[in-house]
Amino acid sequence: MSNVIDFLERMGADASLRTATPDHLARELADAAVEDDAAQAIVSGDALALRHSIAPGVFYAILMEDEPEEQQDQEDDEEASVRLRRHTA
Amino acid sequence: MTESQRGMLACVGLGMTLGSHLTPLARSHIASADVVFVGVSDGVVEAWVRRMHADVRSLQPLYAEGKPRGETYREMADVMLAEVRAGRRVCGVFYGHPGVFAQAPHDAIARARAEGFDALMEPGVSSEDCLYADLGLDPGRVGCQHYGATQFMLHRRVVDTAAWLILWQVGLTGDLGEGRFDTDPRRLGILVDVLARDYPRDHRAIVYRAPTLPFERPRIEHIPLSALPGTPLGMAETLAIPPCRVLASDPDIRARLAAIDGPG
Repeated sequence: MSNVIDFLERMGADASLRTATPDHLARELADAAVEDDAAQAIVSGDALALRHSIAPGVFYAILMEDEPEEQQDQEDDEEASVRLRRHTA
Repeated sequence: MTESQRGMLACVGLGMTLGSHLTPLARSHIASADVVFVGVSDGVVEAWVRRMHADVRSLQPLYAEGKPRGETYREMADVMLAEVRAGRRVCGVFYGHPGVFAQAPHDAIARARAEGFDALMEPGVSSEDCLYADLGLDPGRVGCQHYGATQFMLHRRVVDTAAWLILWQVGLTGDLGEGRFDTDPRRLGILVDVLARDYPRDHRAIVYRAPTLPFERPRIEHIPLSALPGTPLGMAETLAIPPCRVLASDPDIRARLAAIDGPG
């Protein structure tokens, strides 16, 4: 797996690899001794296959709540206030 | 007697695309840390980070279906701060920019500083940055508004339809804190109803996703707003809505400004 990660790091930083033809890419992958399945996934642009072979499973891509906490607190207060008004009415 | 090491926290961004966006300074923070926590959106990217340091700990196990995300983000800050308090140099590594649509890094830094520790954030290339490049969109041209999709729906925003509107986390549209990590056509239909207050339903928008691996292409899919409920959306998708009217000029203000340097 280390070969493919090294290759991806090099590809990410190399303009000629980012725009390489499939044949050129295949040669570079062979020169870097990247495993056949991973090389095939990269040449064919199959990111799902590569992820499945290196890191299968769900990776969560969310780092933010939809509501800021102070807004949630305020809405909790408003709901409590409405309940109180209903209760005392 | 040796002075014990004081803990510190650095939260850095990896950028969006493996190998393309990591800054030398962020790499240095990773290499010089005692422990590295990683919160990234792609397992291949996490494998890359693991090659940069001997002690890399994934934040992914803190997520769970049905678990409120706020709890997950508090726990992310908790695990980083526990190591800071133990006197260790901690690096939190996050995809994109660690301070853009990212709660735990901001919270962890604020809490570390409140406890007297040094804490800092180093920026990274965000999905927003990639969007500007991939869509050929300059936010300075007519302006650009950014909201989380669900927050946008839940509050009556004043939308400027002469500017771009970017809705983030659209793949989680309508999550009311139940810990969902997806959306569905009914929730997206309500988002379209909200947007239809200001835009024609046939107004064309762009579904966008930045590439995380260097051989991927960005997702750029043009759709009418009415087609949104039937469009497959993942966690990393964004909706970019172009203006539907031209800028309205204000002749009074223009005249007042012109008068300043005019014949007095």
